[in-house]
Amino acid sequence: MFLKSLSGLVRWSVLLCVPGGVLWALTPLGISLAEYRFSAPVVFWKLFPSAPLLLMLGLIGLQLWQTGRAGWPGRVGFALALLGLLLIVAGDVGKFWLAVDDTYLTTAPAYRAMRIGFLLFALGSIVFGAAALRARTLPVWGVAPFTVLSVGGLVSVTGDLGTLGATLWILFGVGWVWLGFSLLVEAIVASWKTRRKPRVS
Amino acid sequence: MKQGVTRRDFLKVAGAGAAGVSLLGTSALGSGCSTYLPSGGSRMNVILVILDSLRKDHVGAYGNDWIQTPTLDALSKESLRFTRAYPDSIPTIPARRAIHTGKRTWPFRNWIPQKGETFFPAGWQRIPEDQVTLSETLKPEGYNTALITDTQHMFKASMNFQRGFDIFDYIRGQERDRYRSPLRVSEDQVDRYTVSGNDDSMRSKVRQYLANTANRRSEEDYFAPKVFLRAADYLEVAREAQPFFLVVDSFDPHEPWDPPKKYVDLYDEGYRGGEPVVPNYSSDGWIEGRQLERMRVLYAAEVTMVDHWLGNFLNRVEDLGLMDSTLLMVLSDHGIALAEHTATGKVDWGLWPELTDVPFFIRHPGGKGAGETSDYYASTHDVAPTVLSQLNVEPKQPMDGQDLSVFLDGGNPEPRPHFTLGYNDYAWTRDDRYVMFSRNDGTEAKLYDLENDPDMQNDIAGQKPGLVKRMFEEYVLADAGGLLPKY
Repeated sequence: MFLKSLSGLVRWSVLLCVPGGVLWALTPLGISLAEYRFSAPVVFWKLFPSAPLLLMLGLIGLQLWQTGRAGWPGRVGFALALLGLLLIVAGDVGKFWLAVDDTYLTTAPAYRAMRIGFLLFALGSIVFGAAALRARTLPVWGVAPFTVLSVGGLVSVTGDLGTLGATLWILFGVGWVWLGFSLLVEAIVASWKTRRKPRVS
Repeated sequence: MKQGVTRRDFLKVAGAGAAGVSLLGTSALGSGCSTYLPSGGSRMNVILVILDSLRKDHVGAYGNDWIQTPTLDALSKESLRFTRAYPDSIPTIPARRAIHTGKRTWPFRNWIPQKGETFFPAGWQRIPEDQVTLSETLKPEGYNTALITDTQHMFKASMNFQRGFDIFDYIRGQERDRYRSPLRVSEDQVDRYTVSGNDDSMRSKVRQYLANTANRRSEEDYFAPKVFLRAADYLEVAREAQPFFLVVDSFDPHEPWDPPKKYVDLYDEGYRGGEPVVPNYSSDGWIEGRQLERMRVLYAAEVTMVDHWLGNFLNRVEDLGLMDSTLLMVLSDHGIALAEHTATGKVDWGLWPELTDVPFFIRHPGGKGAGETSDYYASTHDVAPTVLSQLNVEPKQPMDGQDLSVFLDGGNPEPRPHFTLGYNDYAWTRDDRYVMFSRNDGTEAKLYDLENDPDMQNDIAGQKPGLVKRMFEEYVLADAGGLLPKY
């Protein structure tokens, strides 16, 4: 009973894609505000791990939602995205909380971990979305835009592209919000359908 | 009777609403905030050393066998050394603009002569307001930036090379810097540091210089020692505030060449008469024989003095444990003619190797490229993109230079089958076989076959007019993007 409840809880963690995506999308604004209010974007980056952590839980929920029906491409996408998110969090903590890069000036391991994490996360999202789209394991109207916006996300993390990059970054976050939102809608609609079914006497 | 919300209706409304909100939010955020990635990457320090007027052929690492440059020779063993490096343009100020911005200054379009200046070669002007300097790019990335220099042209009121530097330490008194009144300098004093052939302009230069340096007491009061000692002092502070970007810009070994006697004695003894510490910027008819020999010795001695104090500075870098975390670049902006052909000083019509060829070293803290050489046509405008690439910092605007650090990883940048540079009203170009230079309109051309005449002694322009025309059109005009401006 407990395990079933726990499984259900983790499955519903898919909804954390929504706040995770929102926080992700707010990054450019957050950096700007931190710079304006505190004259230090570091303040923002110290808080940033909340976004990838929420997305990580959401991603796990998504994988459970599909229960492996997306095949090996889905598993590869999941693994890449999860690894990317882990690297982002680790890099962020290393760079902005532990100041690892100040010791290793020339190698900057934390920064590099973050940048690689961004790439893997975006790439994994594309593969994950494409696999789900192919296997129809997630709502098409949710996962199709998500996959397209993830391509934009990948472009945005290849280098600092200024306003264009910021826009693509935001849309990448919006893609995650949209995906989580689509699952919520599907769940609500499914719930309605269940309630309307005539009872068999 | 109206039915309740259907699944289709709900999806339509929800989808449209979400898409609308997303687009609105995206456009609002995207238009106002363009930063979204963390800054960082390699946080190595950068030290850029510029040595004004250092000739390539006066450095041991480049084959000189009579002038002592132990520091540069040792640095060469730890560095990637470019054997065919040239400035984007000549002289001092245009070359530095290219270094600091990564943009070509030649062919000097839109040149704005600066009021208050006394020297007017094309391109001699402040950094244009719409260009971003290397220090301006690095400062927001958390770099402490410092410029320490005695290159007086940089800190004239009409210039703006201090842009982006937290500290700009200007050491006054070099050359014609109007620092101390020359009225107290007697003709006899000027005579001691000139020769009879020196023109009035050079006598005036010496007079000002003697006024500026009247209070010297020891070697440490000379300019190169001052610059490198002040830079070493800065290191003590910078060590506690890494990463830093330090530019050490030494005007020496630019003339006047009056190093302490111990350096001169390395190369010459028994000279009597006025010291030829400054060359006329002209054809070489004004000096010959023993005086010319002495002038060359004085320049060589000045080179050795600079090398010695550069070594002192680099030792300090090492002692402070900064060598393993610092990218070091050393280069010159141009050379100086000492009557190897028919010119002395820096004349725009005399674009022979003594004026155009410069040393260029890149020392990577991880030892990449150590002891290696490249014959790529490396240039002054390659400095900024190379530094930014090594630091993983994106340029704020497109640069014209190449990222030379790809050589450190065994790669190759965009090919440069030929190179062009300019000095005032003259343009110069070369490929693997020939060097050609001429006036900006293509007249007065000189052509040299490097394969058969590496010292460029035999002008063959008259024998190969077709080749001259081709090099002018396909190299000079093509690189300049059209006809050259005439000032």
